[in-house]
Amino acid sequence: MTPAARVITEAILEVVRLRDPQANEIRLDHELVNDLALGSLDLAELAATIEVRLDRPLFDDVAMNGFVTVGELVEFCEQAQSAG
Amino acid sequence: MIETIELTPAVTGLGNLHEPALLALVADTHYRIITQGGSATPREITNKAGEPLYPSIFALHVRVPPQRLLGSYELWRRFDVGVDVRSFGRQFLDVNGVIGDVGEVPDVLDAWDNLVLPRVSWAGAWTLTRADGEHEPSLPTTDFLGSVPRIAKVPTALSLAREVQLRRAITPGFTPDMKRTPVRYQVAVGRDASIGRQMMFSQFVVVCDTAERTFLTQHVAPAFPAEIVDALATIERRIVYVGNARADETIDVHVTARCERSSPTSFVIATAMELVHAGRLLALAETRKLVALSETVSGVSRVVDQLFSAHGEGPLHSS
Repeated sequence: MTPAARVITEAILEVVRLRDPQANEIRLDHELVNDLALGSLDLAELAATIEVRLDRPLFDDVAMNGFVTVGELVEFCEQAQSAG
Repeated sequence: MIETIELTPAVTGLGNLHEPALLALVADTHYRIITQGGSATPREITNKAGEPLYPSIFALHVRVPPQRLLGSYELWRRFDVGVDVRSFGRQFLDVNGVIGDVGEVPDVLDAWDNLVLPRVSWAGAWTLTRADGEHEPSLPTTDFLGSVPRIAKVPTALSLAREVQLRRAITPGFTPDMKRTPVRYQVAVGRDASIGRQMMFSQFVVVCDTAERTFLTQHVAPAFPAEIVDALATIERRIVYVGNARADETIDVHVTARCERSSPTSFVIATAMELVHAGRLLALAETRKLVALSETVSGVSRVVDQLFSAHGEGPLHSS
């Protein structure tokens, strides 16, 4: 797992644990809305947390609700990072 | 930012300071912080697509010390409004406000915690109104918020709001009996919201206060005399916003309340409310209000004794 992927899955786990304190695993094939039940405020907090922890604006041109799976979100952030 | 203002009728009508006016004052100053250093007005804050954004508020906390009740700030009085705004990412705003006499408010946020002064805090998120009238979070361009300090961790108010939404109670166990008849509040055009618009966050205070008055004077037995309800002064209010209502819509306010003796000459009425429109939760609210018996009509102590005898310190009884 890349450092960015680790940051993102940890951030998702923190949000999910607000609802389910026993949650302990985030998989790349988890769907953000259908599997993890993230709402719009959850996704907004997640976007803010990822931008803060990766220290760059990432979500100017894409909406968080456009990502279906954790893997899509991770891939997007990794590509944005490598693009500088 | 600390601004000295004069309490004019444009802010508070012909009376003394009240909560909606306090919130509007803090909101005004927080907009000046967000736009300072640039030429844009708040109407010109946009996302990258050029769509206008506004900061929607999802958690409000007002604290007023009994020594400085809001009503003690009279019309035409000059006082200081101190506001601190921080940003978490670009999405969230963490806002703190305080009012005090001129020169009384330090310019360091950390020092505000030690003040015995009225305090306001809220958490907000930049929001876009879509063409279909619905709202969704959206990010302002990086041109904005340049003058707003960043915080690295999730604001406390945001975490609290999420917890409250999940457990559907601000204080666990202090929730309205949803089977009880709610107080109905009609959102009036002009008074509460402009045509086609939703209510401003401060208007929820008016809805809660109106529902509280109706509940105490009409929905409990024995009912509270109007003289006592008139003397209620806010010492704490929390609102967690989940939705909103438009002009002409009806809000059902489910209420529970209890009395607490705070001293031989005062007592507190605590209320918990759920605001619902068409089965959709709009907000959860809790308020603590002080009644100082020396400031109410003569003979009221006997009435208060009777109320405590009838209701005790648990939930107030239905009529």
